[in-house]
Amino acid sequence: MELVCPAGTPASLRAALDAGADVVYVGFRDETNARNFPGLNFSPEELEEGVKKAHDMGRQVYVAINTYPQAGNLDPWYRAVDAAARIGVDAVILADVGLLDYAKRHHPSLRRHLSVQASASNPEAINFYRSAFDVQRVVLPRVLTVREIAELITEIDVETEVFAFGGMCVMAEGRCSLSSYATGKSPNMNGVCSPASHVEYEQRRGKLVSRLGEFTINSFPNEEAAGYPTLCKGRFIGHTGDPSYLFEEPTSLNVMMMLPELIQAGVKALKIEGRQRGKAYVHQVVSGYRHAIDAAMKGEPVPFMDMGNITEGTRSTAGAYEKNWR
Amino acid sequence: MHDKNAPSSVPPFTPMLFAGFMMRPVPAFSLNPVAKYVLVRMKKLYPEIFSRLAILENVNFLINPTDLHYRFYLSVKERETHIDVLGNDAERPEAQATISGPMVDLLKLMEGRVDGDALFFSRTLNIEGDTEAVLTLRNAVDSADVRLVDVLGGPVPFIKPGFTTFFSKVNSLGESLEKDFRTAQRSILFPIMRHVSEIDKELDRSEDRMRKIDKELVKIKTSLKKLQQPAGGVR
Ligand code: SF4
Repeated sequence: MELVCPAGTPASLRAALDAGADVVYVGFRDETNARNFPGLNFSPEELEEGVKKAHDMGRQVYVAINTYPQAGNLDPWYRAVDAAARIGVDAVILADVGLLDYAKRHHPSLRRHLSVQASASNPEAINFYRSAFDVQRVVLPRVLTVREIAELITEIDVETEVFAFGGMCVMAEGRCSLSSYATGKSPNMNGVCSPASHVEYEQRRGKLVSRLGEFTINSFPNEEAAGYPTLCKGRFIGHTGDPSYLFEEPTSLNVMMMLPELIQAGVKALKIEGRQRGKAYVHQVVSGYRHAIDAAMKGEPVPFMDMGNITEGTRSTAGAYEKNWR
Repeated sequence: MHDKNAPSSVPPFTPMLFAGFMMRPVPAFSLNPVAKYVLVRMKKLYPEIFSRLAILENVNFLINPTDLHYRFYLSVKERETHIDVLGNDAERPEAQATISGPMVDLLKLMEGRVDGDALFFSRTLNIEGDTEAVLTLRNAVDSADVRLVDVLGGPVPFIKPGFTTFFSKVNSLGESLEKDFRTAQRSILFPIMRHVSEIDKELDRSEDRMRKIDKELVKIKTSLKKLQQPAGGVR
């Protein structure tokens, strides 16, 4: 089982490698990746250094180029793929069919993974990407149960990577329009859900009020743990007059306790979300998962590790992986 | 109206709060050279931070350690970063973004020993104003492996080994003091905080009631208007 870990900066990349990551995934400092946050990500030079360090330690680096190119402005995306190939990264994570095609034709030996942004979650879709673009791995959206994943694996000829820890994106990924609705900017097109430029916090009588564009997303009373200002985790006042969560409460995904089942299902890699988080987060989650995977692979019980301090709303859930309804 | 100079919450009960009391006689301007020295050292040791910050155009941050009597005014202007120390009683300068939290946590954040989002989720850290600028600053600082001991202990290399031991002693003393203070806080401040939060809740309820009364008023006014209109239907 491969542990794939996030890094938004060179310091986080070092932290991930030190903590035992098998692979670190990163993005360039522009709109070509789905974590286009200000002050984050890698220049080609920084990536080159990071790849060298990882390879020296016998580890790997993947590059996410997983937003959809803008019509009439394809160059930044092509350049990103070319740079990744030149630097010698171990795989590129792509979502757009045009870009997959470009990568296959220009850099046939560069491994291609299908990003979660492509939202491929059934055998027909995945087998199509395999036959058309020769993708080696698919990153599955956070909407399938472990049983569904196990079944899927028997019907495809591609490695699978699943999210193990981090932000809960509750919609079929790559298909959510909530951020576009509120701000005009989306993860698919601009690389950000609920961009900071449209976020505002206000402290009112001990309450933390968060706003996204023109919408009040939440008002956290004194002492209550806060979450990200995304519409999907907003608390709204409906007909009853009492504020309540419409889609999902602020919480993070954590499937550590389900590791044995995921290994059994034949999942190839576990992905930690959070390129936008600090190196302290990266170090804590990666070391925790390193221990857990090592234990689970040996057939030992997975040790309980408290990650409460770094989770959104200081809570976590196994999300759809263990859902028992349809 | 929100008073920008009013403290937004009760200061955290930390060792720094008491250190702050003792430092009260020290005027802010005399700390200025120290802050400026730290900034110069950081520019030298961690240029990557400042190259990431350069995308900001004319942003002033007010960094507000809630348990000290000083605030730091950090401004990024034309790719250059400047710092000033201000007393809490000084007039609040123009700032696009404010970051507030206990000094120890701000220092840990600077060293990347805690995750900024985690501090935010737990409500230890407050941010107001230009969220994008705050994120840029956080990401820039986190991109380097900042170590305070290197920043402070630089100029006289031969005292560095001694300084490092001293620094780590101070650090661990600080950490155990922090724990003691948290325990003390729970016992002393808890009843008061509960009282304050009751008052807050009462204020919220009054605000709700006012809102409902407002709505009722609008309804009454509209039906009054309808009543006043001459009968006779559509003309
Ligand atoms: S709004 Fe929520 S569900 Fe939609 S993309 Fe953002 S995190 Fe995902």
